[in-house]
Amino acid sequence: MQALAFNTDAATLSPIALFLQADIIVKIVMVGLLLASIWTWTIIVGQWLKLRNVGSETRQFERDFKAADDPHAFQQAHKGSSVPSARVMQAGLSEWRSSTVGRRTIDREGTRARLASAMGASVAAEIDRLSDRLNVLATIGSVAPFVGLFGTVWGIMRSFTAIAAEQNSSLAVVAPGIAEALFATALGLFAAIPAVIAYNRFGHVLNRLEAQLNRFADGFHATLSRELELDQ
Amino acid sequence: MDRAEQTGLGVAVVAHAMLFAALSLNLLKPPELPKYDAEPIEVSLVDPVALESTAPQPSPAPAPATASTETAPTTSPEELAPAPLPTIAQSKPAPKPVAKLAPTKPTPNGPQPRRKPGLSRDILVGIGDSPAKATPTTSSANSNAESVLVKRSLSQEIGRQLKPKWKSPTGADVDRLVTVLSWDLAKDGSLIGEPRFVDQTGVTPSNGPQAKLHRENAVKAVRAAAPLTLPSEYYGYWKSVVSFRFDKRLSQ
Repeated sequence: MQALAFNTDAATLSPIALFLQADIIVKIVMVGLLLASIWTWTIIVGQWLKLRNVGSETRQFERDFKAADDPHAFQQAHKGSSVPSARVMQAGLSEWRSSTVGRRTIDREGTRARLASAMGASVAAEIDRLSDRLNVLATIGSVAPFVGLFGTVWGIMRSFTAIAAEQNSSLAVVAPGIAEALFATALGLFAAIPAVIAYNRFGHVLNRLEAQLNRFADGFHATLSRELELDQ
Repeated sequence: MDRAEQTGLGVAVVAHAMLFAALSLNLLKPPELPKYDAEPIEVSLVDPVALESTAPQPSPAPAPATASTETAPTTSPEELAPAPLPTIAQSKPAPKPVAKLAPTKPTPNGPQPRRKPGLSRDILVGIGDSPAKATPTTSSANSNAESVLVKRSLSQEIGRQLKPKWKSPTGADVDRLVTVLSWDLAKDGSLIGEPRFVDQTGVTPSNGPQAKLHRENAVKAVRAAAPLTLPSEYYGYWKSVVSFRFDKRLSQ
């Protein structure tokens, strides 16, 4: 009965006890993976909040843009906005102004090409800014399992050495070492799984946002080139 | 790090701290084993061998009993002839008394010509199993069987007393190891001298490291189990325990 009670005690999952029993190398691996997990969730939560805001703001901005009568007044109203489509519009309008204002002859084809490249660059810059942290998620997602595996292999090697020293291979001697070693792999997977899921999810959201920004840029480009013809 | 990421950092740190606190405080521990009201009883598995099994001794009891009843009919010579006929038809116990009677009774009484047909049969039956031959073999077999049974029972009892002290080492192929020890016991069951190592079998390359431990554990078990409580009337049998096997079966 006493043995039974002892077993149930030993079977409980106490990360602190597992951590304290582990070898120094395994401890370093565990701490690293824990920090990786915290960093992953920081990025997941931060990115989720950011993308949610950006998505709703972009939709709102495009609705306002279609309803606006005067693009210049609208631009003045949204100067300094951090919404990506507003910045794309800013880039297009400033390029349009510098290509047309104060010039006698306007090179329409050149202006169209410059407008397109200016807005395309702006779209790419916005997407880059938003996907800044995704490479961290990708790295953690692919490397954390290996780091955990390294900790496990090291811990198991160490417990095998202990077994050889004691010349006793009973399960009671082997089990704690294996358990604490496997805890490193558990931590690695604990950090990697959310990172991979979040990376794929955010990649999908950013692709959609990029397509949306490109559509907006194309539409605005069409509007500006029509205006170029009217200016004649 | 902008505002959204600061929020994310806060959320992540708090969530991790909560998860690890929950794991540390055993909030997620597995359901406990059911507790039983009755105290667990110790069960030791023993082969079904006991002193009662000395009882079956096939021949001696029935033979004289049937013989005495049969003596009555054989006194009258007329019934002598019909008597053997049914005995041949009957099962085994009946022929024996007739065979026993054959050498004694027919010679003094009963005319010769009448007995002839019966005599030949009697002789044949007598050859089949003569009681004169059967009784000495069974009696010697009985004493042999008894000593064998006593030895077996004692061996079982010694095994039963050693079992709780005997811990086989664990590891690959340890099941195959058999250590054989001999030791001497005083009348009060205590150990005289050290257990002697007789033999060890089943050593393979994979269980080689455990072989020495196996042997040491066997010696330890004998020392720990002494003094053994064994019936003193059979001291002659357990004075020296010869070639006691420590194997997987003993530890089960």
